[in-house]
Amino acid sequence: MDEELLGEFLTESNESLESIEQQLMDLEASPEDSELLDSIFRTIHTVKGSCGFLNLTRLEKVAHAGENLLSRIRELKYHVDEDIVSLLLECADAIKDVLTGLEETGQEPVLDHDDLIMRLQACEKKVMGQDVESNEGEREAKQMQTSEPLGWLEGFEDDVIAALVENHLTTASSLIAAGFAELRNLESITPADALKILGIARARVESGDDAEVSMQEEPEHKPDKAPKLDTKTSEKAVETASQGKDDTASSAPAVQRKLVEQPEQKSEASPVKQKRQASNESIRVDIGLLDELMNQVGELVLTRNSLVQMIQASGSMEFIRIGRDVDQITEQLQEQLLRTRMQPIQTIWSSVPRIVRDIGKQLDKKIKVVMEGEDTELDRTILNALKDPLTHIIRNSCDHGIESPKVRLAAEKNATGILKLSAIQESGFIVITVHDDGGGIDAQRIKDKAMHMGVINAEQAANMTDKAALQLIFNAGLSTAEKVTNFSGRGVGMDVVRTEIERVGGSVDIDSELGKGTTLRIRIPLTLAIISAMIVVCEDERFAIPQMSVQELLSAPEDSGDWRVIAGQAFYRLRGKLLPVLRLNEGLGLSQGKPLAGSIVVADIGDRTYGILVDEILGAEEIVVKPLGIHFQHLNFYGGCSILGDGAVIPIFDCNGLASMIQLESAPAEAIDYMGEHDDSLAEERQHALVFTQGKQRFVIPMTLIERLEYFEASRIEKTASGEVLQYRGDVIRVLRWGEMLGEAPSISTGEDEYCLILSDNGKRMCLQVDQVVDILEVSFEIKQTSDTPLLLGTTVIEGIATEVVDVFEVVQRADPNWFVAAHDQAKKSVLFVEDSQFFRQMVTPIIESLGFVVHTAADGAQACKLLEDYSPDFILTDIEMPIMNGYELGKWVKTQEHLSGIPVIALTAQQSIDEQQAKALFDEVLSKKDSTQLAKELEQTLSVYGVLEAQTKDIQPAIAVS
Amino acid sequence: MSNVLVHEASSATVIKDSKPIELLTCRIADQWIGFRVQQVREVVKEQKRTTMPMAPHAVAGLINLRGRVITELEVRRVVGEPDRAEEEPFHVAIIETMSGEDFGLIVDDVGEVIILDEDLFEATPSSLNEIWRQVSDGVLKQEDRVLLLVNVDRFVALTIPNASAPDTKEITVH
Repeated sequence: MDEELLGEFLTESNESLESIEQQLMDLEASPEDSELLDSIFRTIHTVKGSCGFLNLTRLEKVAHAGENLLSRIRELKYHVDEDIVSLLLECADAIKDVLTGLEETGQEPVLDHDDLIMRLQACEKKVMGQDVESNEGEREAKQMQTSEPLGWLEGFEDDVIAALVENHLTTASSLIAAGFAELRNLESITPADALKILGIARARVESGDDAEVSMQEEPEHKPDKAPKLDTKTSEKAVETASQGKDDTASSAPAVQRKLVEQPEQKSEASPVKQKRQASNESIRVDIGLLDELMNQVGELVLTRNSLVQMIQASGSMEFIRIGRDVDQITEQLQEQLLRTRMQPIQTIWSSVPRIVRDIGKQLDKKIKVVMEGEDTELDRTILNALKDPLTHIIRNSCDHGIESPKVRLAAEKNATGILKLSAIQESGFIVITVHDDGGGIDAQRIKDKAMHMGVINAEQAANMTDKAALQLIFNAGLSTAEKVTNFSGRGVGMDVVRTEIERVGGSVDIDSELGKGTTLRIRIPLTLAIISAMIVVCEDERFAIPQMSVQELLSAPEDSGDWRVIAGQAFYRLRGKLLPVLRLNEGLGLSQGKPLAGSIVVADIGDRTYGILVDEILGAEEIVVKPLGIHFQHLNFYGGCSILGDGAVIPIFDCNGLASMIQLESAPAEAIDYMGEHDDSLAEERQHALVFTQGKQRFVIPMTLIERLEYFEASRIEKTASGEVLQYRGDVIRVLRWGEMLGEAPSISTGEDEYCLILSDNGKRMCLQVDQVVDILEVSFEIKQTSDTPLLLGTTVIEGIATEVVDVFEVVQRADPNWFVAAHDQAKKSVLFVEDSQFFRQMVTPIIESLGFVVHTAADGAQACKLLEDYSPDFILTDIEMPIMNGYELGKWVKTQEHLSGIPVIALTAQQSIDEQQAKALFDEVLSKKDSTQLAKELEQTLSVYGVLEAQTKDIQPAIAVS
Repeated sequence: MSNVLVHEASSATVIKDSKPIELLTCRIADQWIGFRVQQVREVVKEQKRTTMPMAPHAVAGLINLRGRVITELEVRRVVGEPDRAEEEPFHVAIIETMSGEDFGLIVDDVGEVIILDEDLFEATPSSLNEIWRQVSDGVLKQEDRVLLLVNVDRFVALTIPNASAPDTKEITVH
């Protein structure tokens, strides 16, 4: 077989079949759409037509049966029902199966489609039967017509002609398209006849006499809009042809003439042609070639790393300049090549409606699929890896999640369940969520089952949060389905889903509300090939830890006082909780019994967080991931390896695998609790903050908004008319220089690398360039002295040194005055905000302001009382833990004041444990101190509940602008 | 392509094909062995090596061969010879296997390339070390030595954990 031709056929057929499922389902919804039907018919017809050339007899038979059925449906304007669509889908599947086989082996696979073909034929009869009465005469007349055009085929037996007509081979070009193989397969046609027929047909096409536009192809076509003009003309041509045959056709107007010369190509190739025209700017590239290219660019990156190291050692300015160019070009090349490998998630989602339809039909459920963000792009390797787990998740949702219409109606839900898929990009990750509005998962049942299976013990179960319990479904063998169905619930599955997702560096977690539905959230890196990794040292060996798992880095000297050892397992006290720590040297069997000291890499693997104790952290580097050989396949803590700038090979860890080295059975409940929940907010009064210097002054900035700390070459910051910008992760972001903001003269760039803090909040980014980064510390923002400079909150003392606290909100607003949505001009309502920490006052105030309030502040309950004596705000927002007079006391006092009755009091607290009884009695709502967006959202919600916001909310979208 | 057939030692076959074969001879301790030249990509000197914690015993580490990462296997360890002294030089034969993965086999010395008629090889004698017998395709008795024709695919298969059990007949190499 001609391989090139076959390849072309496969690509084209796959392309056109890709859409056929959706089209068939659309047809099910609107069976009267003749245009849709035409398109489906053309696809199958094209496949069938090509088969003859390639001698794919089995495929041809299947396609032919499908085509016949479709052609009847078209002919009779028959409205398809569910069963016919199912049958046609099956036919499309069969064709796909054959194509897959062909692709894999180059041979037509031996698949038995006889049954399907028979059913297709039976269905065709059924379609005809129903229309027999009404259309009998018409059809007969048509058959008369169709036999007529074959008048040019002289000297053949009647049954030969009849056979051709029966197979809709009524034009010269359709005969050629059918080819020798098909012709000779027809009963009553001998090979010699077939050759003769083909010869005549060819001569006819070449001479331009093939005026008979295929009758069966376009008989019912209605005149249509502009792009479909050709069909209208061809309809005319049909009339012409059937009236007067050759002579009339040759005298037809020129435009028709041109069309009818190649009627076959026109009707068959048009979908592909249109597509080509639309994507004139793109070409098809072999995936293998792209992968190879990727490898080579990987090598280039490594070579570049070596080169840059050598150049830096040389000290020659000229070299350094050239080196930098090479560096930049390589980086761009790498980035752009990565982009070429990206495909929209649509490519794997397109099969979802079909899966859902089939399951729905089988289980008698009504399910609607909603998709969001289908255009989100992912590396194709990851997409491929995601396909199976995603399918499994979707099946699960349809099977176990969404209830039958009866149950749904009983629960006062819409009978039709909704399965919602969404994909969004989130700084280097794609987050895919699959949400169903079904019955949800009972955490208690999962716990019981897990206990029963010995996965957890009773004590663990009692201490486990519901969310943590839900994650147990990713354990092998845990399936709570009471009934094993065809689709899921076989006890294998969710663990495989997790393994598959983790294999490509992703993580998955689940959330569910009983009766309301279930949400699965998959977080996956954009690309696999090149990753940013933290290079660490343990026992003089270097290892790489993927940055996407790294949450933070801690320095943990032996005398830090935060180390604990419980039942042999090391823990480190981090923000009041115990973080289990893996001693890497012992885990890897490199050494034993060394004191607990060094640096801790805090790894976040989705459902839990743990620390990795290493001797030293060398820094972050972009590395190319290479696979490890077969000798390492059983070691799940290795994710691959890479080559560093000095040419040495370095192993890359897989943090999921490493986690299994920690014996969690011995972990105390407190620690389990830590692992079960995410707590990356500023729940504590003590804050992580970055200390930097500018000139001789020290500054501190809370880590809350700092997305990353980067060290850039000065040349990456570009000057534009409106200021300096930086290209960062596909964005162009504003650069502000701290020195200049403080009024220093613009510094002359020395060309040296510069520290850049990337601040990010809810999709917006900016870059703050500073002199020197000193450290990241845990500090309490106790402001000793307030500042007059708007950019500073005041002075605090860190490690005995006076340090200025940066007002980060002022900074971001300078970068983008619209960072927060501007408040509206309505008569503003007012809020009393009681909070002892100046830092929080400064942080929360702009959030409330962004909701359109005037904010008055008080530093404690007593101050608040004083203010409230002659002022009634629209609501009171108060901290609970405060000196002099705390939140509870304030709440009590408010209750006693007549003029304050009816004013909602909302508590805002960082504490995990509050006196619930008191809180309930005194406060209308208790909110926790979280990140700004979350807080804004909750405040808005709460306030609208209490009617405070009703007049204002209309034009408030999210409190903080999303760009 | 993906299946490597591991014969039991006793049934090790000598391919009855009287084509001449080219062998690269190498020494491990006192034993001379031959690798089929088509399977040897090159022989390199000591490379900067990264040891891999928890790796199987036979694995010496990973080397960077012009941008390709290759697993180095210490042949001595596989056949139960004591490790060589630290300062003793060695060579690394880069061989390719049917699975497509290349390996570096660490040998003590490299001899020459010899061309032989395959008929000259005899079945592996049972007196030979058990491991050698498992990986040998036959022996050639020369005046002063016995040259062992080593099947590299079987050799590598032996070093892969969970797959090196003696009764394993078929090993799937990915």
